[in-house]
Amino acid sequence: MKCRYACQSPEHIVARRGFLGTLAAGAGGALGLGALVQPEAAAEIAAKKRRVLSIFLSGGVSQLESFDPKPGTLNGGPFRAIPTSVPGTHICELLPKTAEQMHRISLIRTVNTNNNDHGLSRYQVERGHKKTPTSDFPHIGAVVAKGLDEGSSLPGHIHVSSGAGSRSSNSAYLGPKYGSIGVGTKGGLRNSELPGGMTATVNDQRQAFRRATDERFLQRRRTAETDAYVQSHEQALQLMNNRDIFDVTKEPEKLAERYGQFDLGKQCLLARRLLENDISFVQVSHSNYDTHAENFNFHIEQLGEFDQAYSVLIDDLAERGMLDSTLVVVLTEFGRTPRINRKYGRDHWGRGFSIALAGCGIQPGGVVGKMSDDGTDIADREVKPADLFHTYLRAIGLDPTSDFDVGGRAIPMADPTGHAVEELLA
Amino acid sequence: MRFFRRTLSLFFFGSLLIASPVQGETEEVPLHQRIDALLEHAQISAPAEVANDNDFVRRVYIDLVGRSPRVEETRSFLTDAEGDKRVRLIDELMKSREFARYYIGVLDVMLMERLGGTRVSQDDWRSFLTQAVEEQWSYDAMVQAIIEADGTGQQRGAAKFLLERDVEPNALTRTIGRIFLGRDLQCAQCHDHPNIVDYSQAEYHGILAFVSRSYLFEDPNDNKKAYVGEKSDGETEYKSVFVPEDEPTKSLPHLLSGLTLELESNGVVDDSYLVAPSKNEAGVPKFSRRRQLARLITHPANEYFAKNAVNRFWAQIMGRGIVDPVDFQHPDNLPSQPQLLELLAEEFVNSGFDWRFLIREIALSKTYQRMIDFPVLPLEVAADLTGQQNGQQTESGTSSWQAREEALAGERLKRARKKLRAIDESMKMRGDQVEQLVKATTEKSAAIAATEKQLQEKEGQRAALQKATQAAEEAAKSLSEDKSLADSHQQLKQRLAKLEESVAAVKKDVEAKREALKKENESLKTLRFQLARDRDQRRGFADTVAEARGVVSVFGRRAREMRVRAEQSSQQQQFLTVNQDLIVARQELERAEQQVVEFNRQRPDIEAQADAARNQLKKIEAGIVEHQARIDELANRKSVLEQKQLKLEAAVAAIQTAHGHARAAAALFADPQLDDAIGKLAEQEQQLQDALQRQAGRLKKEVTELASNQSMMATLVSEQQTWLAKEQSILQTQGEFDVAARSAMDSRDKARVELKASEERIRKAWENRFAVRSLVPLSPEQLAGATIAALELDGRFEREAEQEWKKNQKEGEAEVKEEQKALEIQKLVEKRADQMVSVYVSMFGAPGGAPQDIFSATADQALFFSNDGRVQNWLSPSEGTLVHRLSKIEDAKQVAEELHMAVLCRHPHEGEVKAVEEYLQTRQDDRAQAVRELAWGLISSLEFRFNR
Repeated sequence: MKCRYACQSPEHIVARRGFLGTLAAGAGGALGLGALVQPEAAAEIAAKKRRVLSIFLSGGVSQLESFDPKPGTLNGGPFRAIPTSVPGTHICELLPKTAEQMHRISLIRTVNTNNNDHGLSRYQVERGHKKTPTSDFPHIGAVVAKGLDEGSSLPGHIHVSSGAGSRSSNSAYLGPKYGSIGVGTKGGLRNSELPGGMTATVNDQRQAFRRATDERFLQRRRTAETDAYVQSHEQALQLMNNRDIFDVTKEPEKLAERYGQFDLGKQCLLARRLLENDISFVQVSHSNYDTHAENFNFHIEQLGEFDQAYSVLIDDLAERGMLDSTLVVVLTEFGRTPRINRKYGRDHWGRGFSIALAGCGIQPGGVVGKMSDDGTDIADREVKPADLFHTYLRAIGLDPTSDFDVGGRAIPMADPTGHAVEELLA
Repeated sequence: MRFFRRTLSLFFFGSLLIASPVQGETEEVPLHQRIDALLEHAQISAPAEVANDNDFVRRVYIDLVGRSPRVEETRSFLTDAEGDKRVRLIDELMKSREFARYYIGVLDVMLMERLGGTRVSQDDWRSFLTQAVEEQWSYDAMVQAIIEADGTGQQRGAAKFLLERDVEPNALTRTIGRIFLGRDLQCAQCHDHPNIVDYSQAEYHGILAFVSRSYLFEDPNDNKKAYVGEKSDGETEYKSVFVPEDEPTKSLPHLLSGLTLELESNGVVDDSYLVAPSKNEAGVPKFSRRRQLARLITHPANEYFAKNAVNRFWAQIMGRGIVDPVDFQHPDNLPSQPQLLELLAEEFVNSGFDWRFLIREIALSKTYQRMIDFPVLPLEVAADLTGQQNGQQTESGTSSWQAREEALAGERLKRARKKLRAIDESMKMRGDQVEQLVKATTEKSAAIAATEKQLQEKEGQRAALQKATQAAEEAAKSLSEDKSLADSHQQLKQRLAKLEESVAAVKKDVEAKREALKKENESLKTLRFQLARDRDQRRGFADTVAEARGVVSVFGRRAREMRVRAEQSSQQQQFLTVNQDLIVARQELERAEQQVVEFNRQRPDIEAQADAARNQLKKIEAGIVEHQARIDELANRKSVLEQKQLKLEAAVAAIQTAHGHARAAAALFADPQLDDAIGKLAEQEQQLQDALQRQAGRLKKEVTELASNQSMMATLVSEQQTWLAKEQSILQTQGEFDVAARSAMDSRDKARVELKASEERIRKAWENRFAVRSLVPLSPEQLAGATIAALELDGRFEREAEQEWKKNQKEGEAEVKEEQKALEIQKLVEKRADQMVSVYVSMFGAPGGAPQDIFSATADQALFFSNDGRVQNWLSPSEGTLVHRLSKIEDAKQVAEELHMAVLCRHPHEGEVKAVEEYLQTRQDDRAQAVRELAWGLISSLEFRFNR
């Protein structure tokens, strides 16, 4: 008679014990951290971290040549409207690749700053308030960076440009911590490389000396401010170690090719790289759309680059599973006049222009607002910059009606007169 | 006659009415001692000690001249053995050019908050501040100049304050409220502040009315150069966005403290212009509301002005306002030390708004000079205080009597104000009537005068005619036959008669006019009398208003004081609670930590047990595996044997059958061959039987062995079961242990957080009482200044400045005087220092136009320290610098000494000397570089970044 122990086979017993053992070791050793280093769990947590990317088309992109074409009308210009991946939604033929991504994007066609000055209108779009001499307001990036601040060592508010820039004081009352840091497609993050000739070992030595000095001083007095200062040095060291995050050349050549080997393509790729590393807010910009003359030729050229970079970016974010947690907005300071001037140009137009939103918290495939047939009047659903601000913040899970506590002063997160565009929120 | 007069009525109550408790008998005691005495009173336990000379010397240099002391200055102070050396140092520093230079910058940041802008150049603005500081203007004079400035001539620089805010009335109202009154009224523009009862729309629009007539004028003939224009008309109206259906309220210029611009009602303000506003010229009215604001806001009776000023200077030096944040002075953000604020404000006013006096007194106080190290609070003190606490409770709270009195006074005030308004209206009406009458009577008088003149002329004519007539008559008489003569006489007579007629008519007319004038004059007199009565009455009501207001104010103040006292008392209560919490938190932490230690001690034991069990199980498992193999083999063999046995048995049976048949045949046939065969068969059967037997034997053995193995296996399995159970239990214990250990660690961490929070609260309570010096981060200016002093860059700057100066000298130019050269070089040195300041401002300053007291430490600042080329340049071993000097010193101990004295203004501790020695030891290959790294380590250290 054969002697088998059913499910008590030796292999089975051994395997089961091994499993128990691992679990026990994990619990005893890493104290619960074991669960977090599981790749799936990490992915899940990373997905919850929300981010914002703003693509700023500087100078004022024409709504008629982009997201709100009016073909066959007096003001329509020479281009056709083409169907998109959303049945019924048409955009200008200059954006064929974007049209294929339309099911991931929503449009607002009736943004009104009621201002035709580059600086003042841009201020409204970026800061959600009218510029007043009474007080200065923070850039949306500063608001997002503060709102999403989880104490990461990475800066929360980055503006990408071609060369490495410095900090801007666009954070108003939120303080320098949330001012934008300039990161370049060339040169990456400023001051992130050791001064000439210094080796990593020497740096370790001098940092250790500094740390020891600080340790001694902390015996005397320790405050939230001293903690912040000590931490800022550690953060800087982490940034130096992670400076590759800011280096777009570390992306695969093939992908860079897809995004486009021009500045906006590189900027978008760098932006995606930064967002992937959990930076809260990134702004890229593309210039110049200020086409008082030869509007149509300029738009063919400019939007060609934009179409490629933007569509690939949206696709790439979606493929990586990042789009759900990343709000991507395409902004501009204002649109362009429906009337075509004598130099085949269009002039400044703040009273009804288009922006695009996609990703985190946004209902995809929607169109909000309607301009009149000749494009000169808002026919339905005016949207103010303050409303946009509320919409962005709601989309990323912040409450725009709450207050920031700034040095004991309670300051509203967004202009209290604004209201989110509810129909766009997922 | 048209007349106008403007008067300002100042109602002032407030700080003057209520004496502070230490005032009176201690009039002669200097302010710094009174500050200390007042705060000592507020302390719960012994405050921190006064700082030692090392800490003091660095602190006072940073606060008074914006840099740390140079190494020789530190040494000379440390070795100074005279008792009054701190006072002497403070006075010396305050007399220096550096003090003025530094405070020009401090005032700049205080007033402009790094707003920037291009309407007025920074140079013009700085030269205004320089003038104000060097000529020792009082603070109120400075503020007056700033508010009055229109940007012309001498007032160019001072106008930056208004012009960079585009003279936009709302911007100015908010800024003036914040910077000069410590009140951020922004919300009150559109509605009363929802949370802060004190910030009302009326207050906002009261200030707005002072500045709403001012506007930005850009000169079209001079590149749009900006000036402040002002109109002589325009009123301010407002309504709340919360109740938009309300009639708008008209706002007259007034300040919260009750100071108001009051025009005498029967006199109309001269609304004419010195310069009428036009396209090409900014308006300058004869009567400027903005100028009135400048005078009123700085008036001693405006308590907010003085309080805000002292609070800002206090915060500048102490690192923390008595009202904190400094622009949130209102009843829900009470000053932490209200009496201190009153005292300082009062003395500031008494000193004639002398801000240097204020700074000096603060710097002289023990309060300023306390250590940054927290004192220890002994437990017994806490117990004592709890006792005291209960005694004080009853005092707080306003009595119902007071409340009634206050309400009555409020009612009186309201009634009197209403009456006052009625009188004002009637006075206005009568004033208008008087004006009309005056106009009419003046016209009439003029008419009378004209008629009288006419009469006079006519009288003259009459007299002449009469003479002529008489002469003619006489002539006619004497020459009676001359007909022509008689005719002319007759003519003359007729003319005279006519003339006399007309004279009589004119006379009559004049009389009638005189009569009318008399009547009008009488009614004018009546009106004037009535007006005078009104005015008396008005004065009476104004007194009533003033009195009622005084009462309300006194009650209000008393109520506020009660609240403050209640607040203080509840603060003390909180402090004690917090202190208790701290003790509990400490104990909790200790317990949790012990538990964690205990768990850690037990852990190896439990793990060893688990390991042993695991080993044992492994052994058993090996046995099981081995036995299983054996059992399998035996079972196999057994089944082979059984097969064999079966075959044998079959063979035996066959033979037995054959044998049987053979025997039966033999019985029948008796054949010897048969017998032989039977014999063989029997033999074979025997053999087979034997074999069968053997086989059975073997089988039996195998079966036995198998059974034994099986029983062994059963033992093992049962043993395994036991050990598995054992292991299970160990694992469970371990799991439970881990859960417990984790919870112990959690509670330890929680206890730590709790302890930290308790400590933070208790420290805050201490800091609120200024019982301990706040650890203040250096401002960008101070950081730059301290870096220059620490790295000894002055020498290098001087050398570079001299080179630059020489380069700027043109050949063949006349000899420059040494004095002038020195001054010019000093300017060039200062330019270098200013450049360094602007680097630090760009890295560490808050954005322009926002409060500058918000600290933030960011990674890019640290990156700047670590890697920026400019920092590396300041550290380069250029001649005359610290790094250069240190690289020449052989002895590591001495390097440590010089390094710490220069950068941190103190001797190194033993550990620090050792750290420097070790550092130099490991970097023997490149000592110059090593010294540079050490200097870097200290200028990027915490101790350097903060003012200890």
